[in-house]
Amino acid sequence: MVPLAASCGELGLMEIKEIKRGYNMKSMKSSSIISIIILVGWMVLLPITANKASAQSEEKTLRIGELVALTGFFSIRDIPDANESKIAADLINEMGGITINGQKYLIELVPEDYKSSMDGVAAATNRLVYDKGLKFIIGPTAFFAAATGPICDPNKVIRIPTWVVHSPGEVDSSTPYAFLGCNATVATAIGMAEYLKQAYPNVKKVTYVTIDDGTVPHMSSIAEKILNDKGIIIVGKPIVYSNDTLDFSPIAAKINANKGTDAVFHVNCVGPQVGNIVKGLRELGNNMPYAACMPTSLTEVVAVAGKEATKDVFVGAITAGDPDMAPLATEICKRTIAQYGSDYTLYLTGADGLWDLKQVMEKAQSLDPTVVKATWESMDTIETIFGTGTVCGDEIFGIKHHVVAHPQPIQILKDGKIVSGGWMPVYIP
Amino acid sequence: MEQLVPTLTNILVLSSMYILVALGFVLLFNVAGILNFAHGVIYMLGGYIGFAFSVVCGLNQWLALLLTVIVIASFGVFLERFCFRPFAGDFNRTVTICIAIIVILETGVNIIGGTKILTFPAFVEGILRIGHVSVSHERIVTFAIGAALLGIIIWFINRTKWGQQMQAISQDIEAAALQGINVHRISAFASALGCGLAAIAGCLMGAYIGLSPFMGDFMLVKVLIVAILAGVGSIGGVFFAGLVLGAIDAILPLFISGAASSAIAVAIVIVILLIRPQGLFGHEMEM
Amino acid sequence: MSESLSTRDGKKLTKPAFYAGLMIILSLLPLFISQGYMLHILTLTFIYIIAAVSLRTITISGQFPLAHAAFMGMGAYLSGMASKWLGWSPWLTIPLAALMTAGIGMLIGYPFARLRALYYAMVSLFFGIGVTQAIYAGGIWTGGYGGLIGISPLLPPTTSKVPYYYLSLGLAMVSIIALYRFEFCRIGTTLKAVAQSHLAASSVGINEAWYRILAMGVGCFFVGLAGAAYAHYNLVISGTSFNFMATLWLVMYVLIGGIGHFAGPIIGTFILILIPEFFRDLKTYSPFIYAGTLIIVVYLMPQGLAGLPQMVRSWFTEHRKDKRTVHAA
Repeated sequence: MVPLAASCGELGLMEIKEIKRGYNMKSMKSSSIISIIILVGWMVLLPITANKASAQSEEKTLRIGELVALTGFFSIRDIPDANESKIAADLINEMGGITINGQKYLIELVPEDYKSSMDGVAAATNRLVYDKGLKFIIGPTAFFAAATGPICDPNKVIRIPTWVVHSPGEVDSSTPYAFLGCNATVATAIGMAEYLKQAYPNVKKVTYVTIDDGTVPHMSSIAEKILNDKGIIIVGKPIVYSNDTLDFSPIAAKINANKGTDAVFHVNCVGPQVGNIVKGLRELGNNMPYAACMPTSLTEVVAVAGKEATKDVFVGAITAGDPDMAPLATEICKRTIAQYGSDYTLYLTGADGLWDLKQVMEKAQSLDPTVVKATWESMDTIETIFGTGTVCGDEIFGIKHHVVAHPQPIQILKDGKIVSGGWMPVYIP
Repeated sequence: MEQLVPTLTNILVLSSMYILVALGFVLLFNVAGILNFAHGVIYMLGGYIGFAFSVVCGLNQWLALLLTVIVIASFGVFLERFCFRPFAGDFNRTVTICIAIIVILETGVNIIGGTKILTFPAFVEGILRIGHVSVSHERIVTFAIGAALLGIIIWFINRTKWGQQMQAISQDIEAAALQGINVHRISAFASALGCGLAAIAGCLMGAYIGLSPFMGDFMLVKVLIVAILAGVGSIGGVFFAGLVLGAIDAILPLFISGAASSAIAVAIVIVILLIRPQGLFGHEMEM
Repeated sequence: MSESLSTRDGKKLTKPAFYAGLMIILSLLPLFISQGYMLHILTLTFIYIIAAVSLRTITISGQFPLAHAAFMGMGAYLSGMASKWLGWSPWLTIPLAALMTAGIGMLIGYPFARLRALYYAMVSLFFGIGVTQAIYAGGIWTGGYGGLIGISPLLPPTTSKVPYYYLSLGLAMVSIIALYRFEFCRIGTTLKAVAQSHLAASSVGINEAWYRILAMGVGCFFVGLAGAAYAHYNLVISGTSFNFMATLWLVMYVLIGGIGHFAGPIIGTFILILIPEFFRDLKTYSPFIYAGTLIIVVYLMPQGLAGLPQMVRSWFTEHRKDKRTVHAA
């Protein structure tokens, strides 16, 4: 028997042995009993344990759901943002919470892990909407927001993603209850293009770089329009790199080979990717200005590429201690640094959305999502944590007045120090 | 034409990266027959422990590298004894325990060190420029270390007693045991060696492209491709397999954008394997 | 000899009892559980059960493909894209997508069949990765990394989770019955014989490659069905749900449940999906619970969870045998 068994490969060996011993015949009886016991046990225990905190918003607490990636590769983006949202919620509560019809409501954030996957988003959203009965949700980030649509829109739950990369289903004509409360890809690109025009007036032609995350067909034409409006044109085809690129030297080589451009305009990126490309470019002797439209600090780029290479690289990030930053944002940043350290990444995108929600709710004087939705759509300006912003984006997002845009912070490396490059006005057509 | 030299450099550097990381995996698989899916996370762990030694403890990078290798190699011995030996020959359970290790290490490292972008401090600074060619010293060092380690391992396998014992075990484990070779000790040594190589790769890559708790996931796929392309039973084949994959990954992105280049790279690998089912240099498996 | 007769009878009695009991419990569940979230999790569990059982069906032919989630993705995307871009009804696209996935599986099975054990597993792994990358590279048609949205739902829009729960349960029951009959009919037993020894099989004139391709086709049909059902339930699908890690999850469902038993994947899927849900409130630490489950099962239960009763019973009988020998002496 042994040679025959050995010849069919180790992989099915265990199963073959068991067939010979007849396990699957004899054990079915007991396994059926045990399985039924286990299943009944699970079915009884789970509702009991899961049913812990499903009490709806009481008289004085407004529970707002939060979709955060607590595990998985997106956690590095979401956890700092969620911590900052918590600080913002505490700040709002200190300032008196949200007042509707004379009744004060204190915000309670209810975070739910979406595990950096679309399935996780669907499960977490189901939990927040069906189990916990929440009507307002902050998050998730970027293309993950598309998975919330089928659950939130039929149930009339308002959601405010913490970033929008311009993938279908995030905030567009198919999402009546989704609102963008912070400066995301489009707004950052507009602000960065404006800074490029101001700080580097000789730059008229750029190389367009982006990640292959499903937004390329949509975002490329928008970015082109944004740049053209500032008098800059894109030369050559967009340079698109795959999500699992390890070594960015071929990408840097491709950028370097794109002749006749004066700068690089990179949309939808993260720190390490920019760092590696910049490193590769400088190594090839290419020292072009590099606009990386991302909210993460230059410290991430410097960590990978070094200070020398990061010269003339600028991003759309908040700089701590920036004297030109609006008082609310400054206060949140101050508290974040006090609690988490001076090199903590400052996103504030969730905090942004939370404050916007408070503004709209108080204007609507209602906690009903349908009324809040109608009010948001009727507003032209809104107070954000970064100052006065506009409610716009009708043309680019395809839905009327669902997007908030405020002044865009720029962060640059000057004399070896990371400082603010100013605040650019942003209006999204 | 101007693209040629940078492309050749990229091929060499990428290939040396892949060879460096795949070497430990191939060693363990050939000698002990263990398909160590956890190789990716061990590589990642090496990078982070190196970071802990060099940045948190403030040691010199090379010293940190040495200490990391010792720590990870010991971990390799532990793994072999408690996680691989109990399931020797049982692919199903080996895969299961590897996945458990992957989940534990990734989650653990993400909780401890995942909130900031970290990099291993560079081993060498500076850029070498000869004529039109410019390569950073870091990439040269990566390539040099990869090539040197490959040479050392091949010499070790062929010329030293322990290396030859490893070869014996990989050919026929029962005959080797009958010859008086202590199979368990050699397997433990192979595991230590394999994990140590992964740790070196983790530190070097951590310096070159940065650290992430999930960097092992991407690397694991590349390692598997290199290992299978090389073929079972061949260490030297890793060199050619690494070159092939490095060439594909360095050249394709130049012509094809985005995810399509990854898809076509995989397609090329599959076609090669269908033409030559045992890999480039592997032994013919009995039908 | 007598053992095999009684087990055949035992099989006839206990299997229907097991599944009937299970079906009664699951059918009545929505009456006791009003929370939409748990119904959502169970709906998905049923879909993954179809995928896990179909994976095991392929493995009884001696092959272990590591691309199962990719085939699920194929079913999902084929059906989703057809319903979105061609406007066909999901009731039509789902079976069509399942058939196409089966076809692709058989097409792939043919050249891959010449690869042995380990190489087969690895090349199928690479194939799975290639499929995922192809999905990402699909531009507007597949939605790339961001996913495909706007898939037509299977049922008219409703905020209740109950209709989809019953639909998914029904689909799972039908698939399980079909796969069960396939495994224990003449073709299925021939498959197992082929897996045990191709020398003996070919000496009797059985075309080994044919049977392996057939197993691949059957397995891929059901996983494509599962994927398509998933697409029209979720209405948003992304390549990230069908990548290498997702394949490993499916493999875990089968292995932890016990690859030697037909009910293995069913039990494994329930346990591995429901345990992390139970510990959801551990937030960042919940993956450790999943890893812990794997470790417990892999060290203590070599035949998986489905082999637990047998282990317990053999421990008891050994215990009793020891006592008897002591008395005899």
